[in-house]
Amino acid sequence: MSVVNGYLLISRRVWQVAEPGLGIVMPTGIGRDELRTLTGRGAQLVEVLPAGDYDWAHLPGAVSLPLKELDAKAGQLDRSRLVIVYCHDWY
Amino acid sequence: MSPRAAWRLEAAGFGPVHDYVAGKADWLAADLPFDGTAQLAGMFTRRGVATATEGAPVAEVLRLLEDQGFGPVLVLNQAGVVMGAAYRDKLAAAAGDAAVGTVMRFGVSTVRPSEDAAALAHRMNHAEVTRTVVTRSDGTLVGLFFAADLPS
Repeated sequence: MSVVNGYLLISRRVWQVAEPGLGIVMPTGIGRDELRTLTGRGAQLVEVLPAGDYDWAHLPGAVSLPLKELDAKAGQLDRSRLVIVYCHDWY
Repeated sequence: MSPRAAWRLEAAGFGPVHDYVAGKADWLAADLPFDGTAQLAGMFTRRGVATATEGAPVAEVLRLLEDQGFGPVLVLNQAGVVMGAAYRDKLAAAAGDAAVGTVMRFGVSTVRPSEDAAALAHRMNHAEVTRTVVTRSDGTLVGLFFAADLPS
């Protein structure tokens, strides 16, 4: 894994992590395999869809933190553990 | 939605935040376990159905189909991807030593295990289809979904 011209190279995928020169670190996009690895290491999984979507189906171990309630309920998360967020799909 | 959440949490000091960008749709389409009330096609799919490689002799595949009691036999490549389906009529009409790949139906319709089971069964009943092939998003086989397997 390395940073090249502002891009982080992770297992055949290229994720932009920074605007070159701006010093902004962006959230890291990950795939299914990385998710399993990270949750295996203790990462906390957060579904940000509305509660009804969470009740319908959610990844094992995920907690519900709907986007609209994010600011109010983010304190429930453990700041010492890495956070992975997800919604329904890419969009 | 999740990129906004990730940015927001990072701004609130929860860094680094990771975003599973393909999301729940990707997870469920891969036939992975989930919690919740959803009744998805994968839950009612018959697993461990008869399969063959494209080079398998027709006579052997016909025996598989007869042992299973229902068809088709799914024809997989070396990666486990469904390449076609072999049906009884084509198998019975072919030479026993012919490769099943020459008589299989290529390009069969497939559905993902993440489809809502009742909606899928409704569509199948409307189209007078009794079974459909269920594959993961990478094309590998999950099994066969029979509309009649759904509890009424």
